[in-house]
Amino acid sequence: MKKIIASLLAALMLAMPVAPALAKTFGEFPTFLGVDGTADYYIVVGAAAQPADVVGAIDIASRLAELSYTTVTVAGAGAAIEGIERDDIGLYAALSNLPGSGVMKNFHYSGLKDSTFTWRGNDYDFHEQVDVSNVYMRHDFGTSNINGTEKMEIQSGDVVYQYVFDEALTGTGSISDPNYTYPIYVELLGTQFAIVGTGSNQIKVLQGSIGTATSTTPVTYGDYSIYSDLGASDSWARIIIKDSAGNTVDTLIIDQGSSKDSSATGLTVKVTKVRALTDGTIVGVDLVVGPRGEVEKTYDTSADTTSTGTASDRFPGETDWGIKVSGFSTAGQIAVGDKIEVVYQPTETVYLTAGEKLTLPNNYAELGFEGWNTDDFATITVRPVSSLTAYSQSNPDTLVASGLNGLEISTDVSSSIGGVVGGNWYSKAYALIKHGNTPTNITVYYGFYDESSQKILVNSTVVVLGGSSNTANAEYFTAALNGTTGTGTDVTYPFKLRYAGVGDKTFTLRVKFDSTSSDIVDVMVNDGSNDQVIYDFENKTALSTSSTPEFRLGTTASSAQETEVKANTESTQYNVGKASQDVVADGGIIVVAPATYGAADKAVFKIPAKELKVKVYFGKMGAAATEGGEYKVIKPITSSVALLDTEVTATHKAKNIIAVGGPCVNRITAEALGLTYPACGAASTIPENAAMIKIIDDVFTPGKSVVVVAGWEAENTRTACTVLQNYDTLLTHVADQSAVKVTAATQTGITVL
Amino acid sequence: MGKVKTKLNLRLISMLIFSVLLIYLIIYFYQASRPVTAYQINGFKFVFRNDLRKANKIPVYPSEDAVYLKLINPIVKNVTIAFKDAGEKENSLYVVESYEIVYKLTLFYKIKGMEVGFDSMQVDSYENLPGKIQNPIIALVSPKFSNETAIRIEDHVIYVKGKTKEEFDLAVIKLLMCALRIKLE
Repeated sequence: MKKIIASLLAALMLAMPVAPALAKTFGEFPTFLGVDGTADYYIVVGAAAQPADVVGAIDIASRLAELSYTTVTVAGAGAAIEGIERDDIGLYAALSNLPGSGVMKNFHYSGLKDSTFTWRGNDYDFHEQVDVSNVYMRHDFGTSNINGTEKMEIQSGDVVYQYVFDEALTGTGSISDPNYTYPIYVELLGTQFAIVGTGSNQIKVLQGSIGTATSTTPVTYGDYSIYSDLGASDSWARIIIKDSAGNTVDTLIIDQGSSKDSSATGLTVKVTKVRALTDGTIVGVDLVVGPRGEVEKTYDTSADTTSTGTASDRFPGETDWGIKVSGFSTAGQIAVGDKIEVVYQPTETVYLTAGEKLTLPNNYAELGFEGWNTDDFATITVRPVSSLTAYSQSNPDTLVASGLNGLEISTDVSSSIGGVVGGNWYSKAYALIKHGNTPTNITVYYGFYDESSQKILVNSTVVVLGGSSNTANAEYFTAALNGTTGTGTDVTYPFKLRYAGVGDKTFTLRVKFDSTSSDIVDVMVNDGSNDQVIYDFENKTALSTSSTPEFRLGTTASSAQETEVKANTESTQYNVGKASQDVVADGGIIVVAPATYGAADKAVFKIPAKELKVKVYFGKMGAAATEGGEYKVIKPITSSVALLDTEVTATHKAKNIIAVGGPCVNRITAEALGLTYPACGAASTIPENAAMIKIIDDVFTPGKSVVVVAGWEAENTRTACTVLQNYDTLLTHVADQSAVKVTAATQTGITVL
Repeated sequence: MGKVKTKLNLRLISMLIFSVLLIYLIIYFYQASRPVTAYQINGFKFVFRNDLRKANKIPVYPSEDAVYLKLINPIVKNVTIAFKDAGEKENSLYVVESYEIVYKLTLFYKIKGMEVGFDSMQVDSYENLPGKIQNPIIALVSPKFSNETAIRIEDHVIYVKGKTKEEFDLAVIKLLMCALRIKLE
């Protein structure tokens, strides 16, 4: 009777229409198995199992460990830096200004290890660091390969990776008597080395591919596979080297502890341990294989990256990175602070421009020059103008003067030009002159363009100056030089330049007129302390009592000359007028393509919105995140446990369950399917010669599910486990389903049940 | 009257001290006798099938660190779980223990930033298993084939042995304790 009721209940359960919105589907697997950072499930296997079920358990276990990852959605962003990023490095400064005085460690970039290595059962502390303190940011115009462009200069020896031993170790081998039995395995920049001896400021290491070879499992190096098929324990081994096509290219007999070169392949193989049966069958041969002569290598205090062959100290796979050591003074010992170094030694100094990076071997880390600390620049253009008319600043309808020649100062970022006083910001300013009635008499007008009246406004009141070195003291300033009523020979107007009028840093553009000079006008850009850029504007025509001169840049109109633009870089003044590239002057003023604009008699330069600095990073630059993109991040969880069906209690049933095995071998499966254990054969409801995966909701606890993974035979269960393992590729076509029949671990082998 | 009051106060203080001591001892022994089944590593809470304290007593030869070195080693690319068919009843132990080993080691490898695969191998004999530096073998030896409870390393093979089902379970936990560097105070 009980069986009948159970069967009826089971039939009811199976036949009962479940509201699709409530039923969990494969599209939700395995998300519903985790709750708030906890693996909210148990995996239950039948107390009676087949060997094939072990395989299934491994498949599922490795896949469910995926639950340790959680998917997060992130907002769009630029490329993320993993490591340290600083945007306060000077234009001419060493990276010793980075935190840690330029020595990068684990707390700057987690890719650098601060950990332990194990040797003969004991742990020893070590840490990795990269010294970039000698790398410089530079913009010197006089240095070829820099030419005034901001660059990261990396000279030979400037970047040094260091593996630092933080704990003393004694008992390893020496250089003359290496210890092959207990090598110290360390990873330099992700490449493994086995230290077998130390002393005399040297270390002896095994390097290359390290592994155990048998007659069927090779240790590979490049295109070659190294096997061993015959030998005697702790004595010798026959080594077979095959090429990528599987052809035997060399056979060597090597004693344990010895190495041999393979002339056919250019490899050296060193055998460190032989395990074999009494008939010579190899159980395993521990060996190291690498380029000839480099498998066993002694490194000293210099890193030779120019020699070839055995003299070369190049890091494996690299040409410009060499290995050397610091310390290791005592044979057979490692002292605290001993270092193995991998030093970057390019044959020529490397100059990185913005956006470029130096990548350490094995892509272990990057040192990158990202660019400026700001994207906000105002471009200022100074150009000669002529025959202009100016109106009164107090009444724009009142004409003050016409036939004016001089310079127009404009900007692409509105309101970036200000007067000497007044606190107003404009987009266009003027420095104009008009000839007078004596040979050196001129009237100078400093004014601004008025957007509302669309006129150039100047002061209608003329200030009479005396002497030299006069400076304008009013926003709108008009002065007479060498006039009949005054003796002043010159006047300078310091226009303020500030990004949009609100930038953090103010520059000045000083425009000076000297009526007694052959070059009436001078233009200088000052960063607040020095005139860092000087534009040599000159008269194109002569000043006379009847003619106001026009201007040009340099000695020849419409052509670029070297001396027409002068810029200070790294505190030295250079003539940069013929430079086709932008020149970064001291103070952060960027002279834009002086040769190009000089040919058009224009002075064009950029001012930054704040003190210009360089942005650099050490670590890794990730891919730019896409808006709404999904990224996997590790999220701590509470792990699940596996249980036998006989161990399951009410506590376990309060969670989700993955039941592996059919109702014939697993009590929980039977219970979940509403069957009486053991339900075998047709009674199991499993499709014959197939398997089923079924999500059954609310079996033991409301809101919790049982995922049944059950096969007709153990092998069918195994196949179903493989499907569950690869749920993200094999179950996509049935994502909206809760039960499938599995005949093969392919999409076509999975059909709706 | 004054003497009586002093005697009463002393008695009260003594009783209070005794009570506090008793409560402390009860809590101490309660905690000490409670099974420890979970351990936190880098924010991950690893839950185990059995008491870590009991498992901690399982001997490891030659050392616990040797187990760590065999499994948590940058050369390791794959771990094979080897077992000998022990019949339906004890095969189920293999299934459960294999899940435990693979699941927890996979988590730990992820914490360590290592990519290590797993597979299994049914063997006829536990002799001369082909363990390799890059592919160590964890040989599960069920009670049917074991006359000791221990973890033993021979070359690149780690044997996990249990005389009884519970001890086999504990031995697997001990293996994981060694690999995950779980040290109980």
